[in-house]
Amino acid sequence: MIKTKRTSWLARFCLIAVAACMALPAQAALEVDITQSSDQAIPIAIAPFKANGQRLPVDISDIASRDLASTGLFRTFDRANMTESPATPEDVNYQSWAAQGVDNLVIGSAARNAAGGYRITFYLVDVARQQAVTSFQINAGGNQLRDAGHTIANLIYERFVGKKGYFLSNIAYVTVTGNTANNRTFRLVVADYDGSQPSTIYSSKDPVMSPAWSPSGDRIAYVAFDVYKGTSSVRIQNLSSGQARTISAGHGVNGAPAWSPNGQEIAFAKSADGDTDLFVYNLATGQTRQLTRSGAIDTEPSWSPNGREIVFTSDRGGQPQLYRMNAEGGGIQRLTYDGSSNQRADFAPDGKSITYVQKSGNGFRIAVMDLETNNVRIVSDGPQDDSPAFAPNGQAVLYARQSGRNALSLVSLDGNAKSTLSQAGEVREPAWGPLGY
Amino acid sequence: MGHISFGSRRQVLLAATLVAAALSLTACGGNKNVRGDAPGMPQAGMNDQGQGQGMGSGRDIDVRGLEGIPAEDRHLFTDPNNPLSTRTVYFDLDSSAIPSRFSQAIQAHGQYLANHPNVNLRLEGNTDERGTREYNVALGERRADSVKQAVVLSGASAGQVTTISYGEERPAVLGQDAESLNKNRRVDFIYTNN
Amino acid sequence: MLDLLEKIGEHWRAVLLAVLVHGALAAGLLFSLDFLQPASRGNQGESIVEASVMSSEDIDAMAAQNNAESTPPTSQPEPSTPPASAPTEAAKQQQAKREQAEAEAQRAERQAQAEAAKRERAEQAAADKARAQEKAQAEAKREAAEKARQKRQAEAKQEREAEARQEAKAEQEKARAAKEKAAKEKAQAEAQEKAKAEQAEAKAEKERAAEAAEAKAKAQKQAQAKRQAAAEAAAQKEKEQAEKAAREKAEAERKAREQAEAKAKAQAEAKAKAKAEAAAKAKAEAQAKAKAEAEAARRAREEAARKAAAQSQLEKAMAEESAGRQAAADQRALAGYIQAIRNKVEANWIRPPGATDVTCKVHVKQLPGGQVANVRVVSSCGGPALDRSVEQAIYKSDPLPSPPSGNLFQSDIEFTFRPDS
Repeated sequence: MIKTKRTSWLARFCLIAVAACMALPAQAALEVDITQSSDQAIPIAIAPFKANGQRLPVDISDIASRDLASTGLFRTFDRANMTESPATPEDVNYQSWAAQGVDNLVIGSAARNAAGGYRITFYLVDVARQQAVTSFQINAGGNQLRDAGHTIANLIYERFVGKKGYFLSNIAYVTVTGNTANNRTFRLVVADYDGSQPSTIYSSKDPVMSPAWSPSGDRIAYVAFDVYKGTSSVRIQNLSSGQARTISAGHGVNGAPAWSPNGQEIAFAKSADGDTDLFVYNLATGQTRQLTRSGAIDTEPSWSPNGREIVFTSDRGGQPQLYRMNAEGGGIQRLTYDGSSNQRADFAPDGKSITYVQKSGNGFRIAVMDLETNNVRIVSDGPQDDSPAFAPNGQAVLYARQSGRNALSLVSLDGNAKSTLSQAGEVREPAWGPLGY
Repeated sequence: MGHISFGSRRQVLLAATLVAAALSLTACGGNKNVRGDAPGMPQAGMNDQGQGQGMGSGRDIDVRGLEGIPAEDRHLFTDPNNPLSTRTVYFDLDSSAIPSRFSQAIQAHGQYLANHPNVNLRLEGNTDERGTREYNVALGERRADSVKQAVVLSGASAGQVTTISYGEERPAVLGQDAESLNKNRRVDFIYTNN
Repeated sequence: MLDLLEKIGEHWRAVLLAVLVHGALAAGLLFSLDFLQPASRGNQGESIVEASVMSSEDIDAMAAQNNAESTPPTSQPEPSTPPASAPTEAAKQQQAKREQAEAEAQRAERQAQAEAAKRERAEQAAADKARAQEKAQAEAKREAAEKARQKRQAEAKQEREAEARQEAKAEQEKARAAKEKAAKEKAQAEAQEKAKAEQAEAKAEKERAAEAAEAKAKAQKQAQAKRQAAAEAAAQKEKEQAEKAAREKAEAERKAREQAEAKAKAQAEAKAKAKAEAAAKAKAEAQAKAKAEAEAARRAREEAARKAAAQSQLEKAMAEESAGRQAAADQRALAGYIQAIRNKVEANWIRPPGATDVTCKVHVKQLPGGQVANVRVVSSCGGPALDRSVEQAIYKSDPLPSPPSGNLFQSDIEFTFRPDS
């Protein structure tokens, strides 16, 4: 009895000792610090989707592929180089894709559903691991395949980037056609984020300006002029009904509408005796209150996403610069000091930065300022860039390039990726609507 | 979704997401269908009627802008030797100060308005295309108002004079050269009958 | 005594426990001592343990391996630093290395010697009359060299001799005077070594040259820094002849080593060599061509000696390393291994945009071939997309780089992604 106990104790000590011996080397793992990353775009191939072996009426995988490529964050693969379009992960020839440098592969197929539309199933495949990482299913009406393509892109984008994709969002902009100064047509246009499916929501021989999306995306505020009467007006138009409502009109300035984040108020610029100040119009009460009373120009307000602040352009210091104030008009602080002027700010969706137009030398370029650090990055080339608007996910800025042929440019937030969206005639003043989903 | 053989828990979450996505697709499609052919849009805007009249008669700047002048006085405004024929004031870059060379003309307009209390003047401010659009609207308004102050100082009643600014939206000349830009930084005198 | 035993019997549990606790503490101390070193900086203990039981062959092999894998010996700063203390085995090995190095130096010296022979052939054709005299001179010179060795004269003398040699080159008159001096010395030596004087002239010349070369190599080892020029092209011409001489040279070397301590011997031999050279030049009547050849040969010898010395130093250092500094070498190899892994993963990591203050730990298990067996994000990088990006970076780096030697392999790798710090 004693012996057994002793033995067991000894055994225990031995065990502990042995465990101690084993544990130390086992913990000694190699330690590797990773401080750099590749600046490559994410390689991804989206193989064509088919429905029962037939082509779909809309090439949804091509739409998704273009969406991802337009961000500059993804490197998509030319369909002509794809040797197969497997429908399921089991059919994938991994070696073949890997040999082409395809790290990520999207494959899928569509089938008719009971509602007369399509049920689209697709897989995100990790080629290196030779397995599907996830799968998705989308139901889309027969006339919604285009949006289904954008939805595929949104799902993939979010998976890789960690932010919602903006491929279902809409933009608004103004086009001007006509060759002479006196014979021109202004159109307010709403389109998919990439400029496809444009539709005119308002047109006039007189200038149209400053479209601004309501936070919910159902209405657009803009400025219309009546040259015959010599008046301007700030209008709000409902996109689904087409009904318009004027919130401020008359001689002088009525312009620069900006929605409050809750959609209940609109800040705008109005002049009296040549002096333009900022006001807020309450959509529910119809009341207007004045925010600024300087003898200088105060205009181009942008509301912070939390609703507590407004950044605006003012030349109270001589040249136009950006200032911030609280939503009641108090606590005014100058924000910008770089360049000879800084104007027309737009808040990022997260409220941490603003984009605006900076003039330096003789050129106007798009700048992005981090509001915490006051660091400024110039993200466009100029020389006549205007009207920057943040993407609804904050990852890109859309702006108007106005030198030579006018066009809209999309630039990723780091300034690396650019794509162009051109329309017939002059394109100006893009405004980017909410995500759309 | 039953045929998917991996990530079952994730799958449920995805299914939920996808239902939401599908719903939003439906909603989105609805919007778009209505967008193009909504009532009261392109050609049916409330401004169109007024524009039609205004633009129809006012293409030529010499004629447009004199609608409010009695027919028997119009020759005063078209005679190059009369200071009233100067109906545009040009400005320096980023300035709303009236160059002195326009003093005589402004005085003449002020006196004419003083002598014709039923005549109304509209001053239309404009800028060149540099700078942001809404700021330029405000800058054009400031120019228009500075001319208005001068005209009122010369005898016009403030009630006779209104202002509007088109900023850079209505350039007199299309072009990005310096000469074009100079011609676009201006205030036009429009004698209206409304 | 009995009481004590009884008490122990009564409280045997306590006693046993006490004993065991002490034992455990002792064991713990021992183990912890053993594992303190390996636990540092993620290295394992095997290399240190192995180093102490390694045979010299193993060490040689290892040193050769290390040499092959690391930077060239001339640019490696560490081996040139002297060791704090070298074990006797290492010292022996060092000795062996030195001998080896010297042999190599001699191999290079053959060229020089061959040139001397060539030169002499020319001289013979030119001056038949003086042949006998020259023979005698050679003998005398050899004797003088040995004498000098025994005397262990100072380095200053050597330098003076060298200067004399140069003067001899420049002026024929002086060279002749030196010749005559040598002849006088020879006369003295003849009394002792008549028999040797009758030996074949060629053989004598060869031996002289061999000894001179050896002496010079030794001298150069000490004054290595001074001499840098390389005229290897000329040396290569005479490779074949030099090989014959190499064996004899090696023998002479051994003899020399036995006679005197390394330092003193080197000095003496250097002086002797210098004298011999001066005599040779006097013989050649200070012909410009011969001088140039001699110079080239000298440079070749110096270069060879310098190389040999560098090699021996490196090997010495490596021997020291294998005896006491293996761990440091392992550390360097380990750092290289870690860097290789790091480079590959960094090249494959595409960081999602917009994320700031990214930091996370990822634990990876790899198989001996570098295949990624498992990837586990220990602490999230800040979001699922980021986590996936680091996972994908590691999977895309499969297989991970192989370690330079098998004992550096670790199946566990802990990655810390911290691009913003």
